[in-house]
Amino acid sequence: MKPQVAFFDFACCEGCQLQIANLEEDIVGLVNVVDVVEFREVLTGTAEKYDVSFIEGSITRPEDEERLKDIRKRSKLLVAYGSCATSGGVNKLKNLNPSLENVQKTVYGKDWNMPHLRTAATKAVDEVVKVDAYIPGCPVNRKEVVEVVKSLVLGHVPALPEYPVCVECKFRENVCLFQKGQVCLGLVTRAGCNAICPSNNSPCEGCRGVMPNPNKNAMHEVLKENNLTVKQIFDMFTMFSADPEVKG
Amino acid sequence: MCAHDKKDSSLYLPQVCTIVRTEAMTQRDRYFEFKLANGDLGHKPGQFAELSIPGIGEAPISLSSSPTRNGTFEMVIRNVGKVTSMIHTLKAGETLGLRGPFGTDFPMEDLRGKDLLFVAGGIGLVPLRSAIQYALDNRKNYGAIYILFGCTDPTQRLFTKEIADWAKREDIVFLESVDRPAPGWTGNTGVITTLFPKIKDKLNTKNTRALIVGPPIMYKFVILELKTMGFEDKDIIMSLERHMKCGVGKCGHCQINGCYVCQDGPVFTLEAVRGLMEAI
Amino acid sequence: MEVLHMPQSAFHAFVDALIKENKQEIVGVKQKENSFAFDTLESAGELCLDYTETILPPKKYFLPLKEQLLSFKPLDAGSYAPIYDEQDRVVIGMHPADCAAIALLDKTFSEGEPDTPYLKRRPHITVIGIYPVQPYKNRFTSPFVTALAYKTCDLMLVDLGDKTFAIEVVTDKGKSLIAKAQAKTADAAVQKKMEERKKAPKEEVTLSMDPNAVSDFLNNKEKDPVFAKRAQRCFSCGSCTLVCPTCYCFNVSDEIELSLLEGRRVRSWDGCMLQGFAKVAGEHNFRKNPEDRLRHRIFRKMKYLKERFQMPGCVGCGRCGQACVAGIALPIDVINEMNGKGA
Repeated sequence: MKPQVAFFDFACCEGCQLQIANLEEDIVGLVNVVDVVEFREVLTGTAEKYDVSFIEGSITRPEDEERLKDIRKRSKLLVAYGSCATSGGVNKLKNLNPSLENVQKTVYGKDWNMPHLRTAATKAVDEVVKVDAYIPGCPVNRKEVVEVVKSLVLGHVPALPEYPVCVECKFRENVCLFQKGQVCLGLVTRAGCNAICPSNNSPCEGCRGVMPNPNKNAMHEVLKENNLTVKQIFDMFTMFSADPEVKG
Repeated sequence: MCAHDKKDSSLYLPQVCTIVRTEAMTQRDRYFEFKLANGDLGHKPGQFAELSIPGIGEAPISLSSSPTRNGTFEMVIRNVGKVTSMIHTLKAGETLGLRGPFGTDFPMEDLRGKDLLFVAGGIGLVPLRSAIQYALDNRKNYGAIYILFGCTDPTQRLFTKEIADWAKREDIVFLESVDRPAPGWTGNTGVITTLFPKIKDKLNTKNTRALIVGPPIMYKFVILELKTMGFEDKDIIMSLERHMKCGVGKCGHCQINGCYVCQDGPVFTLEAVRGLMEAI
Repeated sequence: MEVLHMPQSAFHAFVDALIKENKQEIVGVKQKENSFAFDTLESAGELCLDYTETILPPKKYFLPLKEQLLSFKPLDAGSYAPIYDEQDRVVIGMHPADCAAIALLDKTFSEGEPDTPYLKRRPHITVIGIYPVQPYKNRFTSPFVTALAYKTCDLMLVDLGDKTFAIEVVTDKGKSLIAKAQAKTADAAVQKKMEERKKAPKEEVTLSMDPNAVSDFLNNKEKDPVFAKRAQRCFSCGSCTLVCPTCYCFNVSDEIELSLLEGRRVRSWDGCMLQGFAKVAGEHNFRKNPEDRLRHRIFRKMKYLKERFQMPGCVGCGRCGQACVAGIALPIDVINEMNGKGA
């Protein structure tokens, strides 16, 4: 029997699911090797147990934690895909503010305290349940998702690249954005997106999170040498991976 | 060189090898006996081969049996990654790809007439066994033979039946130790260097050659011990592990300073390695 | 050797004729935004032979960024079959440094265990080199490297500055190729001008010692503080190794189609400056500190390769100096700093 696969989402923009739905020709190949049994965005239907569950989005409410834990219990393997799920992504920015109440008041105004607007500090998926594989990115790279599915079907958890986006830029023989007077976070950001942003003349914003052992101090120096202010540097670093270490 | 000799065949083309027998050895180590379709592998003790599973990848594995035992060859494979974990699922009769044998060997012919001191740390016994078997199969060509085997704990012991036979033999000295004992363990406890005092006085250092294989940390301490016992650098022979990938001195992953371990090694004398600051 | 002389317009016409023949891939240096890159030519008008330096070295045609080694059916050990690339190509515009780098690769891939994929591809490539026309701040020129270039190129162009080229005919292959063009034999005056124009344009890096002395200079200097100092700014991004014409380390991996029915074993460029390069199964990393990786790279480029193959490991192209955002990569800079001459 083909592996039973399901897609779930939490606090997110659903852009990652859309990438899966947009796989186009690869969808046919994909459904030849797996059975998609639950995927709210594209089909009706549910199942009791799953071989692989894909989780998009961050966890921001107690009831979501419970729902996620339930999914985890019923899944052999669980994959966090998209930056919201793998690191908290943009959703984690609110954690940087010392007062959640202030955040809510600013965003929601006088109705901030309504029950349906309740929210807690953002958590990445692995802060609630064990995650077996990660696919970072905002949104995910479709090709990377297909590779992960292939690996899982063959019985092993795929490893993500440990090198930065620069490697992929060089493979594409891009003119380095620094050479064009721009600043780019590709130097410390984990590869796997095929350098899509720099290849389109847009600096890397680090949506996939930092690579293992990034040289953040050197990055600060380089950004300062390119006349960015400390605040600008902080904003760049925290957009997708709000990291209290990076303050100041 | 590869046992097969297809003209116009790629350096990277594996040949087919079949599993004759396989059984678990420890929780992560599995024993395999292989044979090739045509002829012997033609390997020497200390060499390694690259095993392939099409679609998963290729992994370098030490050869664990002596070429004096014809027809088949043996390996012990530790489950550490996607290739090795897939190999662990295979059964007798199933096939894999193989390239090799590669690398330098323990110079068993040059060591004729010498006394041999084998020091195996944990999984280091796997490649060393090919040399030990070779010596035992040609027993009269060598003088005294000492085998020291150390493991972290009793669950990590390898080839338990075979080492029990070694322990019983009267024409060799076999001693083993574990760093941490377990209930029921009646043997020596302590790191492998604690076994040296037991043989120090019997050893004729000038006529003995040491062959040592083990994890990186072991080399420092064993070499210190051997040096205080008076061994010269040229008479200490070791096998160094690096990230072997192509096995043919091209891909660069196995470099220790200026040398390629897959071509200039994995067997080195300490003398050769003194100039390589990354080696130990 | 024979030297020819022809107007650049005639050379362009010759290249256009080759492209039109459609018998082989014609590759040359083209403008790429504010830089340059080797790429397939649609017309000779795209050529920028007075380029400073390309982003990637032309090594990519000899040892591709990614190439298929074998095809297979997943899990079927008997299904492996080699894949060879035997496409005919002409590569136009290789600087002597890049030609010398290929001479090194030719040697490393034929010695020891001959590398079948490289050696099958090699005879199908015809090299038209050219001496640099513009100065380039990171470039270092050495007579040894320039002489080595002649082991690789089939033809060598020298831009005479008057819209003509002098063409040294180095090999028989080059001779039969250029016979298709209308080139005259170069007279003494042209040859004299050619020798003058070959001399390195200014604005270059200088080495504070005899290049032949570098290998010995590095003896016992593995712990020099320069490595730790530069490593503080190293991102381990691999850019220096990826743009280097003499780097040839590679990674091998298996790829499978989504059908799971077919696959390929591929090799792609890898670099010792990347974190995971010296990691073994079980996670021990034999070069886990950036300063160790930096030290290894400098020693390999400036010592080990020379000692092993009697050819330079660094040909002075200067690409790494340009590619390194942190500004720490140029081996000549490192040697100068170790020698107490500037940081």
